[in-house]
Formats: sequence, C-alpha cells, structure tokens
Amino acid sequence: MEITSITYLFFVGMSLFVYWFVPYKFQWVILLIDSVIFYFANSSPYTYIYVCVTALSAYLAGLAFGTKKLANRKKMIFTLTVIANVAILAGLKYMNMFVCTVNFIFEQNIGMVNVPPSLAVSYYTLQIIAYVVDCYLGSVKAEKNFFKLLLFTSFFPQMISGPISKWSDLGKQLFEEHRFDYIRVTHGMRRVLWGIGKKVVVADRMAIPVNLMFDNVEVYSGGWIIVAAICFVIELYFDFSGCMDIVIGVSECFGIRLAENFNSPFMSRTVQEFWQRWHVTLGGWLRDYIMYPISRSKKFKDLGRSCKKKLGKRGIQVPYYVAMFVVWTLMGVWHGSSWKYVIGEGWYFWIIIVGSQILSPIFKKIKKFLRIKDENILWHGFQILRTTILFALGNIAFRADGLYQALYMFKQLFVSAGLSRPLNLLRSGAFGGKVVMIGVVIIGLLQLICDVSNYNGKDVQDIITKQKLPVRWLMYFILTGIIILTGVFGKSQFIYFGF
Amino acid sequence: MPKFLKKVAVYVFVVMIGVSSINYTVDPANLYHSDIVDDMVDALSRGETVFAVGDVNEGYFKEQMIPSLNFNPRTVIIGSSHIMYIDWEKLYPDTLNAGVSGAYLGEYYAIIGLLKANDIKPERIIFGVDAWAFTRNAATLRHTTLNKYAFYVEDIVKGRAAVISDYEKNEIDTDKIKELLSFSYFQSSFTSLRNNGIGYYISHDTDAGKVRICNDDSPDKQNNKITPRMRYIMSLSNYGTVEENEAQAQSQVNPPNVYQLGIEYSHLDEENYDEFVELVDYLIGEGIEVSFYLPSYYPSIYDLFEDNSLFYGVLEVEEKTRQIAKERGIEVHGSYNPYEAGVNKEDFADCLHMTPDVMFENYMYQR
Repeated sequence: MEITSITYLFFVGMSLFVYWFVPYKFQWVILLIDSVIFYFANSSPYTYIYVCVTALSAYLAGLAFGTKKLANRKKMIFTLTVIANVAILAGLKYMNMFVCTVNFIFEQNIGMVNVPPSLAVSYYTLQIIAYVVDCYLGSVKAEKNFFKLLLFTSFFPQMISGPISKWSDLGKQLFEEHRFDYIRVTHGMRRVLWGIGKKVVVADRMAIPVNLMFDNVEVYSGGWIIVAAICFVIELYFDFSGCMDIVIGVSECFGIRLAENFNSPFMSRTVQEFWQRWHVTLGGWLRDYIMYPISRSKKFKDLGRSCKKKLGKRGIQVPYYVAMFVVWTLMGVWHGSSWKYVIGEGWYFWIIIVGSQILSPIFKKIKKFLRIKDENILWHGFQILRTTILFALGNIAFRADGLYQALYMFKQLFVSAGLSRPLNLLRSGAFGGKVVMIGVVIIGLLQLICDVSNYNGKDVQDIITKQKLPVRWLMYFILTGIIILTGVFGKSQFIYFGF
Repeated sequence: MPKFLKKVAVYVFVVMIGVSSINYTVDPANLYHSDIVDDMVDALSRGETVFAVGDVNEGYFKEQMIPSLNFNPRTVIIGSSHIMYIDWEKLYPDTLNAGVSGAYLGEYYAIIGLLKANDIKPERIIFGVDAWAFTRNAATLRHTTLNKYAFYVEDIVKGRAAVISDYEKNEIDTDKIKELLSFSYFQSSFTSLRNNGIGYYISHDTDAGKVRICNDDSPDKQNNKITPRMRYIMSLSNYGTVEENEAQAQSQVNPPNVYQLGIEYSHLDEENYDEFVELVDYLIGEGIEVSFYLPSYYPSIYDLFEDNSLFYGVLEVEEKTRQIAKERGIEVHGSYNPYEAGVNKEDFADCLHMTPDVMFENYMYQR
C-alpha cells in the first residue's frame, strides 16, 4: 500500500471516518487496528511478531523498573532489554553485512541468510529503546497496558520512514481524547496533498537523470558526478520530506502532532548546522541516547582532562570528537547493511572536524579582511552552496551501488568530462516535455518559499489559512492539476522506506 | 463535521469528474469507443480490406479479431510494426500477421496466449525480435487488454496448470474503470488534446469515427490499410525523403533518446530475456517451428548503438539471440546492423521503418 496511492488515501479516509465517530475512549483502539491492517498490507504478517516482541520486551522492562522486588536488578534488566532489541534489529538488518564482511576478510564462502524483513524496524527499535531508557531513568512513567505500548511501537503513519518519536511526545497524544478540529484536519490534508506533489512531481522526475548518471558513471564522470550528486540530493530531499509531509499530515488529521524531521536544511551555513536540520528526529535520538551519555561519562571526562594536559586547550575537544565519531559511525550503520553508508556518514564527521578546526579560522580571517558581515545575503548564499555541495558529495556513497562504486565515483571526480552529454540529456526531453518541467519548477520554487519562510519563523500554513475560501480552493485545484498533469505515476517507493 | 465532509466530497467529485470525463471523451487509445473496432473486425472477418482507424486499442482489436478469423493460420508472425507491413503470404500461405505496435515481451506472451485460448496451433511462429522488448518482463504489457492472456501462458510456460477462464474477469472490466480514473491516462489524453485540438473531440463528423472499406491492396495517400490477414499496408504519407528521415533520426541520436529505448539501454536485462527463452523453448516443445527476425535499424541510429556505450544493450540482444538460436537450431533472419544486411538510408520509409518491400528483402537476409 504505497502512501501516495489512492488505496492508501481511501484507507486513511475510512479510518478517519470511523475514528471521528467512535466514542473517544476507543479512538486509540481504532488506531491500533489500523496499524495492524497497515502492517499486514505492507509486510509479511508473521513478521509482526517482531513488533510484538519488541513492544513486549519494553512493556515487561517498564513494569520491572517499577517493581520494588527487582530494584537491585534494574540495571541488568535494562541492559538485557536494550541488547535484545539491538539484537533483533541486527539480526533482521545486518546479518548479511556481517556474513559478507567475514567472507571478505577470512576468504570464506558462507551463504547469505534469508531473513524476512520487518516493516520500519530501524525506526520502531530506536523509538522503543528510547522508551526503555526514559523509563529506566524515571523521566517517563511505564505504560501498564501492553496494547497501548504496541500502538506506540507501530502507529501506522510512522511505519514508513519515521519520524522517531518519544513516549513523552507521542504517548500522551495517542491515548487522549481527540475532538474533530476543522482547522487541524484541513492543515493535515493540505500537507498530505503537498507531500504527494513533492514526491510524484519532483522526486520521481529527478530520479530519471539520477538513475541514468549513477548507472553510467564511466560516461558521466568528472564534474558531472557532482551534478549527479546534487540531483540526487534534490531527489532525496523532495522524496523524504514529501514522505514526512504525508506522514505528519495524516497524523494531524487524527489530531496527533508528530515531530518534524526537516527544518529548512538547505538554509544551513555549515554541515554541522545542516545535520541539525535534516532528519532531525534521528539526529536528536543519537544526541540524547548516544552522544550525551558517552560524553558525560566518567571515562570521557577523564580522557578530556588528560588530553588537556598533553595538547593544551584544544585537547578538551578530543572526547567530544570521539563521541561524535561514534555517533556518525552509528548513523552510517543505521542507514543500511553496507559499509558504503559508514563511509558516507564518516565523510561528514571528517568535514565537521576539518571545517571547525582548520577551515573555520581561515574563513573568519577572509571575512574580516573583506569586511563581510554574517547577515550578508551573498555570504549566506555562498555558505549554503558550500554546505550543499559537501552534503551532496557524502551522498554519492549513499546512492552508489555498493562501496566499490562509491570509491570509483570519488576517483572519477578527477577525470575530465565533456559538457555535451549532460546538456544533451536536458535537451533530449527524456524528463518529459515543457509542461512537466514547468510543474517541477513550480513545486521546486514553492518548496523554496516554504523553506525560506520557515527559516524566518513564518508558517506557510498560517498564511494559507488566512486566505479567503475561493483563493484557498483555487490553490488546491491548481496544485491538484499540477500533480495530475506532471506527476510520475506507477510503483515507486520512498527512498527511506528501505531503512 | 458535516460541512467538512461536504467540502471533501465536492473536491473529490470535481477531481474525479474532471479526470474521468476528459479520459472518456479524448480516449487516446479508444478504450471506451470499441464500436469502431467491432465494425472493423466485422469487415475483416468478411474478408474485406479496410482503412486502419488511428489510435485504436490494439489489444482489444487482436482479442476480437483472432477468434473471428476466416482462415486457419499455419504461420503466425509476432512482433512490432517492424513486421506488420511485410507481405508474408509471398513466403508462407495462410499467415496471420499478429504484430502489435511497439510490442514488448509481454505482448509476445499475450499473443501466444490468445492463440492458445482460441485453440489455434500454427505450424510456425516467427518472432520479430526488437531490442526494446526486453526492457520489460512478461507481466508488463503495453496493451493491458491482453494482460490475462500473457499471465495465462506465463503460467503454462512455468509448468503450472492453467485454464483461460480462470484469468478472464467478470462482466465489469475493472481495468477499464481504473483507466477511466487513471492519472497516467489523463496525461496521454491531455497530450492528445494538445496535439489534435479540442474541436477534434467535440465534432465527431470526421472519418476517424467510422470504418471505411476499400478492398484494394494498393497503398493509400493518407491512411494505412489492414487486410483480412491483418497485414498493414503503409500509407504513402508515411514515406519521407532521405533528408526528412535523416532529420528524424538525428532528433533521436543527438541528443540520444531512441524510440522505445529512451536515453539509455546499456545492458540487456538477463531476467527478462530468460523469460523469452522459456517461451521459445515451450513453443519448440509443442512442436512449433520457431524463427527469429532481427529488423535492421536506420544507419544513423545504429551508429549510435555502436559508438555509445549507453546503448550497447542493443548489440547484446542480437548477440544473445543468435547464440540461443544456434543452440536450438533456430533460423535467424535479418540483422540490426543495416550495413551487414545491405540496407541504406534510401531503403527507409521513415527513420523507424524500412519500406515494406525492403522489410521483406531484409527478412530474406541470413548471415
């Protein structure tokens, strides 16, 4: 059930209809039933057992933390629960990566393991680990109803590509009474329409040159690899943020506000800032549950002190960078069972280190010499371009067909390439005619306007809501027309669905 | 909430009515105006030659025509427009020309399924093998009306028990309803509307809406013709000058965007090709003689295939086809390579098709 399909929209429509008509105390039961239906429609039904086991482990751990008799075993229960969930995730996702690595290092020929995948396992595992940690630390109360925790684990709009929610944010909302709120529902529906537009008009259209260039790197070499990478970044942004718009929009229709995953990332001045605005919930999870616990641990504090003695002031930063290295490695591992992700995410780690330690002082001097202020639009534009290119280069590994191709592409970056092929590609009309290109440009520009407004603290939804009814309806029909006329229709999955 | 539901209903209603009414009225593949095809089938089954109606649902046409044949075909030709214009009767009496324009592997399967569903077992089947046919698998057809026949024969080829009635749907054709609301079909309708103008669809007093009988095998100035054995007779308006054809070819070569192959075909999809081999083996197992015909490409387009690695897949198809033919003792006629088959730019009606006489000579060429 593709979330851009009529089937999904019909499913959501029917669910909403029932949801708003049942007594409030049963609303969460409807959501649970919907979540089970959605899961069964998108994955092998028996893999739902993984979801149940994950939820059950967290449920039992939560109860155990509150039992006085088990107080002295709290740490052990916590550790076992986290290990069990990580083991399920690793077993489902990384078994073959492990087998391949063993085969490569020890020149073995161990066969691949055919493990049936579980829908959104990478997302709900992190969500449930966060719940267990929060229960353990006492920052949230353990849930006493298993089915409520099961709904938290498998709330259907999230079972595509997140966002990764916290119990403290989502848990309360899922089970409270929701009265029909016209403005919230229309907000949600608008967002769904906008998300579909981004996905089918821009992302799926950009996939055409991206696939061509990445599938033929020997032809599209040199500087065109950067073009390919930037095209992929555009595809990825419209694909992932479009998906999030649909997910958050659908949730909003049910009266549930999910965490945002994007915050105008392409307005960022540095790679570090970019990652605070891109896939925000994953970054937040890694910060709260990996980075902070590591950097605040006693061992790391000791390390900081000893580094300061040996290296001076700069030594203080060493434990911070070590923690960051762990975070970026985990970020790479989370993305998929291939070393190319680790390499790709590792790129950002080094960019941040080099940027903050070496390049940042140089840029400061240049700025001072040229008397450029931070607010200067041209300077901001330059910073955005620099950040986008650096982000795009890291994504070469992300999109490449394996580690070898990624490394090959980095090597090919330095081969000279003619201008003719990519220009021919544009002229060939292979992406569609003029009408299609107009659609892509309109949606692209509208997204840019949304991002700039959001960056300046203005919500486009509020602006639309303030318009008169005929204006709003005209906007809806124009957007619908653009989607129908210029969209790419057929089976095409969201990129982040694979994680 | 009732107010809200009303608004949603109005929105959905307007979008659905807008899409379906344009799809139904423009109907670029004549899915909902099948009476023209039925009239054409009637005339052909009476043994009359007719002027071809433009943009018909070729799948539906084949589905109606094959059970209505007034002869028992001993030879069946399967392929695209590259074989539809050849006068096969010169070589093989009682030949059914079952080509479908732009045919993919799915259509190869479907035609075999259609023959089988109608208990037609020819002595010989000739495949006009086009390189693009393998860019899709046996389950992906261009002419969706034929889907059921492709799935039917796919199951037979895979050794699964299959009865055609299991693949036929109920009286309501859900595919047609889906297509009525389909956004992709709407895009085709919109393109058609842009090309023909709205007047074309409002006034139905043109000849496009009627079947005209001609009973004359000579080429017409404006329209293609179809003979009772489903051979197409190319209209004179299709013949371009060498300069016009070269200009057409250059528009596909520079920048590269070749008919049905698009902007690249660097590798043959082995999985899809294996499905073709399975079909061929099945036919041989049934005691049917199989031949392949590789129609020559226009020289400038073939040059692109040889020079640009993005199109090496075409060369792979020829190589692979010759290899499997050799292993099975199958005759291979023609060659994608026009230089090898002795075809010049002057021998083409347009940059995609040789003239019918040259197509015949091209078929006669064997390496």
